[in-house]
Formats: sequence, C-alpha cells, structure tokens
Amino acid sequence: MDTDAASLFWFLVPWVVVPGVFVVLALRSPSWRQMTRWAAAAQVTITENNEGLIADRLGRARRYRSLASFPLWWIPGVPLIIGPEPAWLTRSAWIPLTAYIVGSMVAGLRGAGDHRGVRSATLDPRSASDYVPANFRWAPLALLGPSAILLAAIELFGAGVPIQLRWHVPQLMVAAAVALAAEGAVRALASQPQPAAAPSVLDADDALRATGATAAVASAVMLALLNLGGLVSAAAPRGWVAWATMPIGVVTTGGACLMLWMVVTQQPWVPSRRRAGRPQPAPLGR
Amino acid sequence: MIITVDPAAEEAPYAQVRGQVLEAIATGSLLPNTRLPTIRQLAGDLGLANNTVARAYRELLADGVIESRGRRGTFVRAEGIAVVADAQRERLDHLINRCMTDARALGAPQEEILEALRRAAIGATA
Repeated sequence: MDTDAASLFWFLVPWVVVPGVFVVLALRSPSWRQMTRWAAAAQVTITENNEGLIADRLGRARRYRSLASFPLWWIPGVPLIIGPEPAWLTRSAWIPLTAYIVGSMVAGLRGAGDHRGVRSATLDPRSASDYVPANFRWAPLALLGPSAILLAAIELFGAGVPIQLRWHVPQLMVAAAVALAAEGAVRALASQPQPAAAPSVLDADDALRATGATAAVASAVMLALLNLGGLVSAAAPRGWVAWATMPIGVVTTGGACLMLWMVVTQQPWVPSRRRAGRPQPAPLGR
Repeated sequence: MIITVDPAAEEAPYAQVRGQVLEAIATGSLLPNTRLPTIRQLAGDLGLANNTVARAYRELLADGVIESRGRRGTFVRAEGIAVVADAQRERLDHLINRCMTDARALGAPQEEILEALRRAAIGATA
C-alpha cells in the first residue's frame, strides 16, 4: 500500500475534492448565463412563464447526476493508494460515469404535469422521434453489435490476443444495459403527461424533454464508443496492427468526448420538432 | 388544437372529449388524415383514466369520424368532416322540428313562426 503524502494528495484532490466541489456547484440553481446558453441551443425563448420551469429542470438534472455519481468517484483513484492490484480498479472509471448518466436519465424522467381543476391538453401526438432522431437513438446498439462480434471473434479465433474477458464482458453488458435503459428513458420522456399551458411553457417543456432524451442517448453512445475503443486497443496493443487501428481509437475517443460534452452542457441534439407553428413569445430581458 | 375537460361539469368527461374533437373537425381545426394522440397520451395529459378517453375514441370510431390504422395510430377520416356535417344537420333538423311543434301548439300561423325564427336568427348573429 502506498500511503505517502503525494499519493494521498493525488487521490483526494482529483477523486474526492473536485467531484465534491462539482456536487456543491450542482446544488445551486443554474445561472442566467447558463440558462440563456441552453435556450440558444434549444431555440427556446425565455419568458416570465417558463423561466422557473427551465431553471428547475436544468438544475434538477445537474443535482441528480452529481449526487448519483459522487459516492463512486473515489473508486478509480484507489490504485493511487493501494497500487495496481486488483487490476479491475485501474479500469473502473466507467462505474461513476455510469452512475452519472443514470442520474441524468432519472432526472429527465421526473416532473409530470399538475392536474387540478379544469384540464387542458393538445391534440398533437407525441413520439420519441420528436425529441431525438431515430438514427441517433439506434446508434448505441449499432455500436455495441461490432463490439460483441469482435469480443466473440477474439474469444473463438484470437488465441494469441492478450484480452481480459473478465473486464470486457461486464463493460459490454453495462453498455448494453445503459443502451436499453436510454431507449426506455426516451420513450418514457415522450409519453410523460404534458398538460396544455402557455405556448412558451410548452416550448420549454418540449426542449427540456429533448435535452433529457439527448442526454440519455448520448450517454449510451458514449459508453458504447468507449467500449468499442477499449476493445480495439486491447485487441491490438502493439506493432503495426496497433498503428492501423489507431484511427478507430481516435474516432471513438473523440466521439465519446463529444457525447460527454453534450451531456455535461445539457445540449439537445436537435431542437424539438413539435414547436412548428406555435406563436413566438416575447423574450425576458436581463 | 387544445381541448379542455372540466371534471366538475355536468357532462361526462368522455362526452366533453368527444364533443370537442367533433367540433375541431367541424371547424377545420383537425384536418382529414390528421393523427390523433394515443389514448394513453391524451388520458395522461388530461389527467383522466385511459378508459374515459378510450370510450370517447370508441364512440368517434362508431360515428365514422375517426379510424384506427393499426400501429400507425388513430386518424381523422377523410370523410370525417362530411359525417360531422351530416350529424350536425340531423341535430339541427331535430331541434327545429321540436321548436316548430311547440310553436304550432301555441296556435301561431306558419308565417309568424318563420318571422319569429328569422328574428331570432338575426338577433343571434347581431
């Protein structure tokens, strides 16, 4: 066990203190600048009617994902203290990352409409494709297919390939579970009640649903990309094969970073398609 | 197109949903071949039981105003507006016949009844 001051510092600061600071920051409501940045990306006008809804839902997503992942962030830092054994700990960053995205999905699923007195609803049908394009929704499963085939091929035919099934199989299963959960979350988001309200509130609600759906699918894509990239690099650790497969690593890592950026910054993949024809509200100035 | 249901109203919620869909079709707010929300979605949005909205849809289907296209959903029939117009005409005929019967029972001559109807129509549009 390596418990010198430097190891403790490199364990505590990046894996305990920094996530802790992020949790504290997440407990605050989003700033006006953060809200306007989101509104610009989602093509939503912030008004007096929808300002509270936007602040509440964006803030909730941050709180849930930070609180879900914080208790697990220290796990990948443990090898700094106890050394490289057990080996699975050196590759355990996906554990808090999975908690982070599960927290993000759960936050998106909360917040059904309020039903009191006279009730109103639009006769516009809603579907999951209104919030996330169908091809983006199927991307995680499309990426996990080659991973599973590659893993099976290595196991059956790659006798000399130094690959650890006990690491890759659980990661593949987690990525598949998150992909299925993301699809379920997107469908649940689309089917959640949406009582009719002011057009600006409906716009914001649709954009927030699109943001939640994007976070769910982007999380699944990110895990699938990391899985595929990790598998390819493990299957070709050195020599010309490693050089030949480097572009795959660059693409999968770059794609995963892009997806993580979308989740962290709460960007919708596309503005919701349900808002065509609704009157544009007057913006709220600050 | 927004519909409203008042649970405290005398009219049953399913009848309110049905009536407003018919009105939307009659006024052109819902065009032929427009897809309607699923029963679950509309029931959830209105805070009603699925069965309530299902009953409204069932009656609209029986009226021939909407049609189910399997997994693709429920749509306003191309002939829906004509069906609604026929039903409205039939209801209007029924109301006028009842009114005429009551007016004749008063012993008023035909011309006077027509004049009263004309006055009422003008008064209603004024």
